[in-house]
Amino acid sequence: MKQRSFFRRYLVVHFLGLALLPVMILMMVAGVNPSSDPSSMDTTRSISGLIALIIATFISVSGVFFYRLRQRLVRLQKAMTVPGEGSWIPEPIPERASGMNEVDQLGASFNQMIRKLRDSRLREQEEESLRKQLIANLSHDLRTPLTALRGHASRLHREPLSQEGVASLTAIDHTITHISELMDDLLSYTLLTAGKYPYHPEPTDMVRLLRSSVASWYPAFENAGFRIDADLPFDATFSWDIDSQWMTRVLGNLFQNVLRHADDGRFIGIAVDIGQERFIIQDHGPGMGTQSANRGAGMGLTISKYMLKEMGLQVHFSSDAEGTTVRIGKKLDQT
Amino acid sequence: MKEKRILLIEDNQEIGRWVQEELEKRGYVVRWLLSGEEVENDIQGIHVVILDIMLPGLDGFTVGQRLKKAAPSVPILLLSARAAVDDKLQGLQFADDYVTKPFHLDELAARIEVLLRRSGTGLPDRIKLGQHILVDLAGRTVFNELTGEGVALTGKEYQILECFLRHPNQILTQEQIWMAVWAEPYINGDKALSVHIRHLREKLEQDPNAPVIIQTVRGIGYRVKI
Repeated sequence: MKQRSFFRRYLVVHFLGLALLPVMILMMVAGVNPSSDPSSMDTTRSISGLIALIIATFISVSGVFFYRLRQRLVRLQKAMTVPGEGSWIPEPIPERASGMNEVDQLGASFNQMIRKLRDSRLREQEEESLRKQLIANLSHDLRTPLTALRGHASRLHREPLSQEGVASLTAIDHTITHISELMDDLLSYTLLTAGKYPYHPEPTDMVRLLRSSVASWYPAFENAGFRIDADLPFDATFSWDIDSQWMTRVLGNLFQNVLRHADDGRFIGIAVDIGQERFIIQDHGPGMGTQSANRGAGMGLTISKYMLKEMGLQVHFSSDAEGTTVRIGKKLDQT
Repeated sequence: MKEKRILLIEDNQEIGRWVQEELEKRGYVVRWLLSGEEVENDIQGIHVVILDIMLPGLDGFTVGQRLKKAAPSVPILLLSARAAVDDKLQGLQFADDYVTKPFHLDELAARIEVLLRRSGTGLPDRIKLGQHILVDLAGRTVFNELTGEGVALTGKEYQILECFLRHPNQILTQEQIWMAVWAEPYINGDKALSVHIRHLREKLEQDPNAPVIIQTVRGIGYRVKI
């Protein structure tokens, strides 16, 4: 909607009034003294000229004043609405050193507000950066003692121990692995949400990527006694514009979940639907509703979902007591 | 069996001692250094370098780059508590593998073996396949103990067999084998590799229709178990 300018309207009325005024005065003077005396006529002309000059000067001064006032207000409005470089916060406007009028004071108040906003944003960024650095350092600093701990546990394993002792050492080993994975997830999530996790999408042969990922997980499933049904065609494929490292991580997380939480079913099915461009991963575990002994905070899955979303992909889980099916595709119907 | 010498550069006493002990128990000869200063003088005769990143003085990235310049053929395995992707990417610009702490000694040893095999040090001179095939890697010959005769393989067939032996017990996809042997990207649906595998089986297997040496992993690829 077009906005109406108060000052423009004011100026129009003001100027019209002031332009008509001298004409009216001239007409009045001529009407009051219609004498044909030349000296009287000269006096009348002089008075009229003087009045006209005063009014013209007044009009000019007023015009300049209002024009400049309007210009400054327009500048202030523009400064308030245009975001600054690299931030949504506007840039401050130039301030006068002295002789500040109401408009200058308004500008100064605006600048003060901008400064406060910037300080607050800067503090927020510093705190965020400090928090992320702290997580990265913590992740690093905890790994070294954990490694030493694993070393000691490994030495103890060689000592003669009771059954309980061996079980405790195995539990310690699992706990170290779990803490390490949690730290990995925490670091990854922090980097991901900060936009600092390297992302290089490129056209990728998806069946080839899935096959390669399954090949590296195959021995783990074999060792866990799983029946593996990999239905991956050699002569057909499809391409997605994704980061292969990200997708490998997502698939790794899904496979690890099957190994950890669906080992009762001892089955994993991996298939692709070439026509619909989908990955399908199935297990015969107790379903996602069941609390697995190995269940954590689910951060790995959160990261996977985040990564898939960032790559423009959807994931759908359907789960019951007979098992879980995961579908990944560009567009999935929720059936 | 050839002696496998490892140079371990780790400043943490507990971790360094543990890794040295465990690797020595597994038959490796381990030289352990606490820092990477002047390390170029210690690289002679080393088969694998295990390198920490956070070291006093020169950091692992600098030490690794110097080592790679001094001995390009010696594989470097980075062993670090730095788990960020950026660190891994930076490390893998010169290193051959990257393991994050806390690691499992079994995993570390397995990765060392892979590096040794890739560089040609970890493979024994002779490998027995199935009940009757003997591969002499040094002489690049294959012998059938049942017939008492040598097996004549074409250049490509031998390269494929060698690729399997460098990755024993590992499932290799057609793309991976193709890249390793032909050194060019695999084109989906190309039957050349399947034909070579069939010929290899006819020459090596007792019953090519029920292969024991070169196993097919349905939907994935092939595997040779040693």
